Amino acid sequence: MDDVSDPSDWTSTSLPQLEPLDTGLRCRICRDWYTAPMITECSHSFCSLCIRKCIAATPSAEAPCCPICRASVTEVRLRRNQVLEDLCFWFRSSRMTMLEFAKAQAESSQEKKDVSGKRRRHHLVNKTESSQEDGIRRSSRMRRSVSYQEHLDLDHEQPTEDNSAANSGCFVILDDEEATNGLVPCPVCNQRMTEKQVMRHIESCLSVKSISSSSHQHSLNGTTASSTSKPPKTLLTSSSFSSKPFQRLPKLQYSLLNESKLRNKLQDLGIPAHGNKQTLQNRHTEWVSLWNANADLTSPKSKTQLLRELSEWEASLTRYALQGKKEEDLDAWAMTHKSDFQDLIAIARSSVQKKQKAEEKSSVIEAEPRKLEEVAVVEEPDEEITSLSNNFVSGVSSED
Amino acid sequence: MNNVSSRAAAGRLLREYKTAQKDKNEHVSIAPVTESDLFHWVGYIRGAEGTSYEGGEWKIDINVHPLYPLFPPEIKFVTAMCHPNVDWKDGTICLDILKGQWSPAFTLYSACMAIVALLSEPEPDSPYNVDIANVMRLKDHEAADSLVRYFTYKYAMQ
Repeated sequence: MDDVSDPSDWTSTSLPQLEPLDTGLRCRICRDWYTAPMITECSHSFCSLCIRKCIAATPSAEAPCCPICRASVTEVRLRRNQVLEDLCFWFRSSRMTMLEFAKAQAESSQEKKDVSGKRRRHHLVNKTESSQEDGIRRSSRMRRSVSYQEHLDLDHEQPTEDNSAANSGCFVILDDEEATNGLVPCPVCNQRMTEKQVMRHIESCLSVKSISSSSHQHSLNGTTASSTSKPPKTLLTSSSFSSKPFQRLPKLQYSLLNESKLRNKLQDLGIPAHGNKQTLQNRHTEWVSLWNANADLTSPKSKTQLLRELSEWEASLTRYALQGKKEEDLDAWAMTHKSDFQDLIAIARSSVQKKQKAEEKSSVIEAEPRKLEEVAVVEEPDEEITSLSNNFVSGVSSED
Repeated sequence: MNNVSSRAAAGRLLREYKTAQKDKNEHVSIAPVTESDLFHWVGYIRGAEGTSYEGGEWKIDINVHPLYPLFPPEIKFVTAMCHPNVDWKDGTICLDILKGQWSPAFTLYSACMAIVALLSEPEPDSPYNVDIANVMRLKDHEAADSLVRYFTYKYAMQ
């Protein structure tokens, strides 16, 4: 469960402001990172597969609409949102680092709070002195977000305790940033660049670091220039559409095709061609969505993979249909045999009544032992009915 | 995950579960019945203050379609609920966004919030529970209010 990333990962860190950004880079349908995002006419973006499936799932009587604003959408007018895909890539590549960073930051500040809660009062005098000293830096910091303010104050209270913590580096960076014309150092290699560049740079910086951690400082100086100016290869190839082996499939007008023609179409496509017309139609629709979405991918999957996905889809549907059927069958069985059930109950009741009458007659003759009999009468018929209905129920279950 | 087939749905449900754990709300709390099956959830809905449902807590049952979120979840009241748009016997809810107006952008949580909103804004013109709907349609607010409060007290308060 923990391996599934989620925007709420940021809430308990020192950077909760990143939560909306994290949310914004995820598809509203699958809630996962955008995969081949497509933009609609109403300017909303979804994963290619998500929006295609969504359009395909719309009942034919209704016009497909945007899941967010309900404006009408058409599959042919979907366009790739390359910028979003790139942004998503950049954010994902640095997310782990940022998250760990922010988590450590939150933990250390929590520890500090625990300690400083007691010390705060004692430091009041010292604090006024230091704030005079840092008058200029402090006023410029006021412009920064309020949530940082607390951490900053804490930093000032215990400057000596910060030495070991790399996590407090964030705020040191902020200080330096003002001194060096808006340039910030990379948290990994300390090289200075603009804030925008840092985000892109961190990824390459870390990958280089993992390859050769010993000589990283040296090698980075060589790579930063190129990595900040252009994106990695994976993204460059994504913009070259010409090399795609996948041709998009057209939609079919199912009402114009009879079952055998549709079956032939499915066979031509190389997908399973069993089942009735409705099954064929559903399978074809799903296949077209899978195929066309795959064509939008930067690195498309193989057809075997797609066929596997198709069979997974089908298996989940059949399992669901079977589940429903079982319950329906039981209900239907109960309904059709309702009269039998009632007959049995009626027989049981009448036999009870007969017995009662017989006993009443006998009680008229023998008035004395009646009370004892009565007790037995109350118990007997109940047993009879329950045993009868028990037999019936066991019959149902054994037949089923 | 026991249901490999609907992987997309499972991934999304797992995220919803994660969010649901962190987002606590005074009106709605939902969670899967077991962590191994994310397609069956159970939840509790609490009536908003100032409404006739104040103080009540209703159990709801959520069944998720394998092709969720393309298809809406089936949500039913388990605890008896006196509301014009809720079936008294089986707890079925008549709410447009749980039927034709469903959008894949909705979540289980937002669907439950819509149910909370439905409690304070009943639609007696498309009723499941005709009796309480008729009282409301006659604009006998006092009668409707006391009926709802009575059933809330009887079934939805521990």
